[in-house]
Amino acid sequence: MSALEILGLSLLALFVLAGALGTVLSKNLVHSVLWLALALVATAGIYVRLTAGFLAGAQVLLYAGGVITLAIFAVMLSARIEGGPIPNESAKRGRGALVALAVAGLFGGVLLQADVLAPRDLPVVDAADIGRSFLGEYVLPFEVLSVLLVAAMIGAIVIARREDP
Amino acid sequence: MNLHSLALAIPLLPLAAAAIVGLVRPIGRRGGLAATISIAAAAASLGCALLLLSHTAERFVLKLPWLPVGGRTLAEVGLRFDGISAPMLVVVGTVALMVQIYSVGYLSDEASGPRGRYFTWQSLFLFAMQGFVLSPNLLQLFSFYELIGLCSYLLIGYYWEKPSAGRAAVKAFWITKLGDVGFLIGLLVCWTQYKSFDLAAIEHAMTAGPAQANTWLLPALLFCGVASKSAQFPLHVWLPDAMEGPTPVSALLHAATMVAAGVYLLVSTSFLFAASPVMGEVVMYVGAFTAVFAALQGCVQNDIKRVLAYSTCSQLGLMVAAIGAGSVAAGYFHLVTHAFFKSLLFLAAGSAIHAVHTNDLREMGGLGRGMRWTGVFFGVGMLALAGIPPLSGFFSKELILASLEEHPVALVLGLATTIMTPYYMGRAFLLAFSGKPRSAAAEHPHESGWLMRGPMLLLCSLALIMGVFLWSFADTIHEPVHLEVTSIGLLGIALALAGLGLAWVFHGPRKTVIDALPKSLLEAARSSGVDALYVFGWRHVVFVFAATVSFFDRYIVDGLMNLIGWAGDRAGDALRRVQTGRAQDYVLALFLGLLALVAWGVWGG
Amino acid sequence: MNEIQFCLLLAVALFSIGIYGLLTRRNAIGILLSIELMANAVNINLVAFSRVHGGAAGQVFALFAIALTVAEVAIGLGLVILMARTRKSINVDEARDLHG
Repeated sequence: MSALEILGLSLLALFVLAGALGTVLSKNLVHSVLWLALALVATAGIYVRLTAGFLAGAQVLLYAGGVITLAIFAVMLSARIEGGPIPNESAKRGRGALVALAVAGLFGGVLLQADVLAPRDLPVVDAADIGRSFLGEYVLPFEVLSVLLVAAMIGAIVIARREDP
Repeated sequence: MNLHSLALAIPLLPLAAAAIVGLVRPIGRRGGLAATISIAAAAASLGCALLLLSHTAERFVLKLPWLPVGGRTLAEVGLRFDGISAPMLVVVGTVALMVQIYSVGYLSDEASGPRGRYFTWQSLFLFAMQGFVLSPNLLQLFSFYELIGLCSYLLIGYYWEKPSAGRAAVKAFWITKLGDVGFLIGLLVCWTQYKSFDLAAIEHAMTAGPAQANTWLLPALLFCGVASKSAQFPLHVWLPDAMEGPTPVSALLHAATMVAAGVYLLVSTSFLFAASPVMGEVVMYVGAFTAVFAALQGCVQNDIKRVLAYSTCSQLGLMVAAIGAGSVAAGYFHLVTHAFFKSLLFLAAGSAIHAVHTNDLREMGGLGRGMRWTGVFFGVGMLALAGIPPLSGFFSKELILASLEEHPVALVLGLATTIMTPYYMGRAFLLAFSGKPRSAAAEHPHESGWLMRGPMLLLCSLALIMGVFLWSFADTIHEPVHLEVTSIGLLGIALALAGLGLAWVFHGPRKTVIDALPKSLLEAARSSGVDALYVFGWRHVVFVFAATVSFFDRYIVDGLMNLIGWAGDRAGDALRRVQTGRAQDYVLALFLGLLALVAWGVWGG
Repeated sequence: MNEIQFCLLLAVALFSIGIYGLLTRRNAIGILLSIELMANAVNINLVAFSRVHGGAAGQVFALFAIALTVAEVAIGLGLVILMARTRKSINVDEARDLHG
């Protein structure tokens, strides 16, 4: 792994962590959403570094495009319903930090001690391979997933709809 | 018809009558029809018994296995016909038939419904009694013993709307049950000792098998049952109170048959008592003491039925004493003669009560003029009970005194009874039938109808002549009797006459003395110390024990339960605070669990 | 330390930060965003392992996970809207009707 590659990966990781920390620490909910967008897009960069180009595209489209937009809508809608800016403070931080650090320490410690395999020189998986997998080996989960998405869409509409139209 | 079906018919006919009268409501509601069915069954049953009496040479046992356990039978049900049961069958059948006929006249004022009930219980009682007499084993004896006790309870409580009758019925039930507990334990002891309930098998095991360690135990327990049913001291207290029942019931159950069941049990199991000299003596002394004690009480009663009740107690004591002394024939024969003359006395007393509507001797007097028949019947009964020759009571009393000859203490007690018996009977007779009427009702008494006089006449003749059957009776039960002119026998006659003379002196027609004894002595004698003993035992022993148990149950047992409940309640209250309702707290728990699992996987596994 | 190990450590960090947000945020939308972070960490793991293992399976599962997350977000945000409408607040501390 060349120095440039290391630098690039570290930079991406820095963006991801900065976005994540911004998401959970920001006092402004809209800022939180935007920090999340940063983290997700930077994650897409990580995917590219891991030779998963198609997944990076999907990540940007679905997350940065779909989820972030949805979240912004939700923030604005609930702000309108509540009437005024939505508070976004945190509470019981010590407790949360303790559990988070414990998880990080435990998992990180295990990972550092583990003998992780290095990436091998394997053929790159491109979009065509993924498409073949979806329509071949994983066709049943794929179709079930589409049913799930329809169900989620209908469910979201039913849940969020006004009681008296 | 062979003998077996005759023997079967004796108990089953009354049972059928009881079922018909008791279960078919239209018949039960019509008192006359119920009485007819019941009397017909009793008469047929008596007929069978009489036919069997001429075949006492043939002994037979009919058995059906009952309670099969692991290839053998725990018990059997059946009939045992032999010389012992034959006379009892006839006595019970005769008295029962006479009493049932008499009851039709006695209860003619009653409504139909209660009369149907009365005859149901009468028939059921006859079934129970005859079944008891025919029982070949202890288990069956016990079952019928209990059935007899139940019938006694039901019949004493016939006038159930009277509180005193209800109390008397319950008292009789409980006191007899008290003794029956002993009987029940005796059954268990019998099984452990002899592995059988069958009387013949037990007798065989006793003679042929290895000697048992505690031969006194089984007879002692059986005697508990005997003492309660046959009203032996100190379990006699229910019998005077049982007089709350209708007089015919008193005549049948509480004079002739039911109370004799205990004595009959003694007769049936006499071989057990013979094997244990200690128990024999205990039985004898209990009987002799009861005889004197009850006779003393009889001397001071003003209720004519209570006089007879204590007399019954006393005479049963004599029977028990004779059997305890080893003379089964004397006790059994006295049972037979007593059954006839005591039921006669009760029926005659009932006739007088029917006429003057009171039991109180102080409100009678001079009844002899208006009720000559009744007076004669009562007089004959009295003389028979007093033991005046040649009436039936004389023979049996002489036999009993002869049997006590070798036991001086018991003999003295027996002789004391011999003088007291004629005294209290003479007193009752003179107070009721001679002298001047002492109440308005006694001025113009009406003689009872033939429906009541007929049975009395038959019983009277039996009381007169029963003595001559002594030798054939002895043949039937295969026991030798020796009736000789001895000094004790002559003394007995003299004492009986002396007792009658005393009664004449104190209570003769010219006198108006009710009580011959000083007042303080009377009070002491009447205030029943034994009853007080039971009340004391109840209040201070049973009740304290019950209170202790109740306390233990309420505060220790329940307290423990309440503590567990309280602890659960408090724990639940404390634990419910864990359920905060905040989703994030649940998530926290989720991650703590995850951490624990992973840590376990890393370091623990 | 190689590339894969680095990515896995990054995923652990991302996941822990998500836990912190999940436990501390009072706002329902904030909680949902934290869950997104955690899901993202999982996806990084999937992709990193597929880089070692080869084949399309890892990426396919990552795509499945992304789709599921999107569905979850849709439902979750629907619930937030409903909560805002019925309670006039999306503070999760106030939604504790099931407390013991």
